[in-house]
Amino acid sequence: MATVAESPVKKRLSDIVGSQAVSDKPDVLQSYAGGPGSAPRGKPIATVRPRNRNEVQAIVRLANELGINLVPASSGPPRFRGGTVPCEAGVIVDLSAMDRIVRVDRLNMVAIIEPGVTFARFKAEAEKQQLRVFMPLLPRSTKSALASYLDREPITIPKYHWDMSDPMLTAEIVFGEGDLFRTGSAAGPGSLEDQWKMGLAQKNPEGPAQTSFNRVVQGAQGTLGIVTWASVKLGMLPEIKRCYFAQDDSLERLVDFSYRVHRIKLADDFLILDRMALASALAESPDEIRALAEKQAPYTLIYCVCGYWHFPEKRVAYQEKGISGIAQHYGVRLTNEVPGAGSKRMSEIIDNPSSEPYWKLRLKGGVREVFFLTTMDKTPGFIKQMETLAEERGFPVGDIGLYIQPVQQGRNCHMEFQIYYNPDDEPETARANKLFKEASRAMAGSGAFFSRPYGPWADIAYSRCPDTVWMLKEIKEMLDPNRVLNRGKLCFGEEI
Amino acid sequence: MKQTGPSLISPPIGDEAYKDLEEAVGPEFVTREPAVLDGYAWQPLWNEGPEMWVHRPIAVVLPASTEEVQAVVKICNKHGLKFKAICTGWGALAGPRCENVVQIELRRMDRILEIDEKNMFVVVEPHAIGGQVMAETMRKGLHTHIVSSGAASSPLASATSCVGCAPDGTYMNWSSRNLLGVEWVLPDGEVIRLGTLGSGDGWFCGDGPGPSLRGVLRGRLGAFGGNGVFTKCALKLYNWPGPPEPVPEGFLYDTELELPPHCKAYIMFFPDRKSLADATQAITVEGIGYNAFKPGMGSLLTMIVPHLLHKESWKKAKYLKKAIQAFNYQFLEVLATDSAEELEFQEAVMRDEVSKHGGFMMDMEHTGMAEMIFWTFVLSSNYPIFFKAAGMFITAYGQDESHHSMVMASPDGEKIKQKWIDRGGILDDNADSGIHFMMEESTVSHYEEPIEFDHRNPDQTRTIKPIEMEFTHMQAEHCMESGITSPVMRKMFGPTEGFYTKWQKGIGKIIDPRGCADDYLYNAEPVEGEPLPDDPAILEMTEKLADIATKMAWTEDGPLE
Ligand SMILES: Cc1cc2nc3c(=O)[nH]c(=O)nc-3n(C[C@H](O)[C@H](O)[C@H](O)COP(=O)(O)OP(=O)(O)OC[C@H]3O[C@@H](n4cnc5c(N)ncnc54)[C@H](O)[C@@H]3O)c2cc1C
Repeated sequence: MATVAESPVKKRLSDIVGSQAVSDKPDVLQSYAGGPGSAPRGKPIATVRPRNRNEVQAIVRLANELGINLVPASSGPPRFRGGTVPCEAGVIVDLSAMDRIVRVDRLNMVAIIEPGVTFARFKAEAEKQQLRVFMPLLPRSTKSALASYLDREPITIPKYHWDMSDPMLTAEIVFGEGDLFRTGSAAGPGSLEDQWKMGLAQKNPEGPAQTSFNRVVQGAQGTLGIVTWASVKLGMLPEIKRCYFAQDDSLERLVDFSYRVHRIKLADDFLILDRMALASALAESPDEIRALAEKQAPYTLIYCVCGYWHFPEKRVAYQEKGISGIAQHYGVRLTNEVPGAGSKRMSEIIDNPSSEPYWKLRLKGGVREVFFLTTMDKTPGFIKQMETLAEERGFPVGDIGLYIQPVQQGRNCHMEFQIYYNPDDEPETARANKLFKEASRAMAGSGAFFSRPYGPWADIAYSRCPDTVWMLKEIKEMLDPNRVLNRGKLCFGEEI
Repeated sequence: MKQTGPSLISPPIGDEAYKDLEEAVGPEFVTREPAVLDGYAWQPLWNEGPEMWVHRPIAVVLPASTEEVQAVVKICNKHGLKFKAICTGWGALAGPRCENVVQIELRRMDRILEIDEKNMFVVVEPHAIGGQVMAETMRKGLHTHIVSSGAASSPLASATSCVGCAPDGTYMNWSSRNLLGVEWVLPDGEVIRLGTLGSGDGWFCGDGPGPSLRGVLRGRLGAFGGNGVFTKCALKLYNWPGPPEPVPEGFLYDTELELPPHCKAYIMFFPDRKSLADATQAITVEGIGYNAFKPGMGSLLTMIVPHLLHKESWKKAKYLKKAIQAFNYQFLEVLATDSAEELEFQEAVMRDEVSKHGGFMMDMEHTGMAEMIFWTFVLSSNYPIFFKAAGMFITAYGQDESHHSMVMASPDGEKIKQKWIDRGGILDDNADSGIHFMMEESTVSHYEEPIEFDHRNPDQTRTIKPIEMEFTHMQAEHCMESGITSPVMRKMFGPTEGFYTKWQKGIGKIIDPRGCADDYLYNAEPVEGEPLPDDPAILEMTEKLADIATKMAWTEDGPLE
């Protein structure tokens, strides 16, 4: 197999996409470098920007021919989880030029989007038809909606997060040798247009037949296939949306409250932030953030109740009444403002991508995230663990933010610690990195499930499930036998 | 009627293999007694066309634990035998479909292992049946999705291996989407545990780390036992606002049980199919309903007045039939809410949509049937009554996509049915028995056409295959995937669905290197050189299906645009 250096990679890529869509300029390559802590093991040697799935297929076939490592990327910078940092020298397949919103279907509340569609554009387009895009909390403005869904990033409305795969439904995938596939009911028979004519809307995520490859490529960090479009669920755009808060010293109390509210599906958006994370979402400068954080209670629960297209007042009224009954029962005090935000402002904030600078970078310019899945009742234990570790390692506990996002209708939650640090301060960066690594390892030992194993989490997560690793490797061998897709990521490196 | 014949009876199991099985599970839990084996081979439900029997298993074993299941599967691997799991066993899907199959009967694995009330899931073994799970979870104010085979069937079988849709799906989702952690004995006898379970983190999530193996485990359908044996799984539970221990008096339609507070049953009628589709879509997206269901008038008749449908007078009752058909654009809503205000909201939405679309709705309390409707749906107790009218049934079409595509396809289904009713091939249920129900409020809607027939009447059994084929043809015309998974159909229609068989077989090879699972319903190739049936209707449909499959096959560049 020819090595990348020996082969006329750039020319051959240019033959597929045109020379203007291929680059090996250092500054362009640097923008995929991934950010803090994602120490590159390999460097991008070029970027290529396909415009359609035929070009993607041709690139994948070329990679098979030349033995090139392809690293798919959809979102724009800044990147800080290392998803686009190659483990081996490779070509970045930048899908951001594939940015069509193929369809927004109001009747069926579904859209088809390409990888380059950002949340901001998607949301604007959906809202024209009174539809709501399900978003993660404050995505960065350049974040690809499809990439977020493909990564099983949690959305802020647990009620509509029925399954871990939500809100993604069907997908078009180019597998590792260039084969095209479609999942769920999109598989066929018939083209998309044929299916639309019959009233179908690429809504059934399961299948075709006895497999669901959309689940297999979700969470795969581009190692098993390149997704060229996906159909995703949309919600009804609320006619009324009211945001409420519960601030408390006791997370346990908020957790009990949360269980009950979710059981009855009373709230729409629902999340918990600690004072630092909340202040970072509300304020922009470090001073403002610190000052605002001082004024907050340790934990703030934010939830919204919504009324949609039928009797919105009636819906909101029964939900408000139900929730306040639960709050009373658990001794939780509900308010419609917290220092720095009232209902309206908070609602606007969580309904939109993050303004600049990105909210997690506002305090110190850098962030190391430790996030995983757990159940709500275990969250207080992890907080204690993080505090103890931070104290032992001399990292200020006050520079760590917390975000808890119930998922799967409250059955479990995404728990996220945000370790803020100044990237220009080397010792501090080192301390943050050390805490990040130690906390990740310690928490995995306490039952933190790193379901989206970026960077060093891959070793942590996969060392705990050898059977899963075996099967994943076999699947990789089937879908990408020449290992052209994001080589070395997840459990597909040599070491596991 | 075809009896189990030499072609369906394998040579007896070897003594050495049998002895190994006895050692694995204890001699009292394994048998090769022909009379018992035939009990497993008599499978008229969901069988192919007119067949009443499946292959006779060479032995039946009853393991009591995952370890015993593993041991049995390893013995099959060692001796070159096949195996197939049977759980609650509602039909031929669980029966052996080839020679040399050891039937793994899971009824000794019937425990509920855990109910996590806060995190809303239950951990079950295969034979913890729906009724049992429901009884325990209702005590904790929780409920679980149960498919329309009813409370006597296994929630684990539905979630891991076998379809999984039902009218409660609007609130409690469908089986495949309710799966969390899973324990799975692969066809080589090794165990794999999915999601958090595989990492020792409990049962709460079935996906990851990284790619989700749930997509390997199953798709829209399950593998029907073709990919191993599932020994435990966690299933999502949902809120149950009713009493912790409903104690009914009476039986099925005569059940006497009060309606719980804030609970109701409504039936809505619409002037036409389009209004039905529009209104019920608008209602369900608002999250209305605990069970939401469009029954077919024909289906109702088969359940309520089965004898009428056999009478000569019914055949001639042209105007009565037309009158009944007029009520077919109906939709049933079972409401179970947590407060008077929520109930009022749900009722208001329904009333609004019904009036916008020129329909009318009835509070079933005014008919005296509210309690019966409510409880039979909530307890999933009425479905097996479906066998009453003709003895046997199949369901044709069986599709899941957007609500409008499902509802608007039903006239074509009715046409096919009417043709066969006119020929005396199936029970005359007025042909208007198509049913619809939804998943996740209204993400996906389901359509199926129940077709009742008398399995003792050769004039009727011989029609089943052509009817199924006609429906398959209609599915392709409507751009819907083939609902039937037999080797011939997979081979024919795989190319129309992205050549999915290539990838599915790839998975089969990974998990079953020695081909030990009975994978007739999953990956097996058609037997070469099988004589074509001599039935002209089947021959005609075979040609038509081949035609449409060729026309709609993908090329290397995807489907023809
Ligand atoms: C009246 C009636 C109505 C129905 N309506 C619906 C409906 O609306 N929706 C729907 O989804 N289904 C419906 N069904 C079919 C139903 O899906 C199945 O019957 C049921 O889900 C599974 O229970 P079972 O008793 O058939 O299980 P079984 O027959 O024991 O198993 C079903 C399949 O799963 C496999 N299997 C079972 N357990 C395991 C295991 N532990 N490991 C590996 N494989 C296993 C079996 O080999 C078999 O192929 C209906 C059936 C009837 C009789």
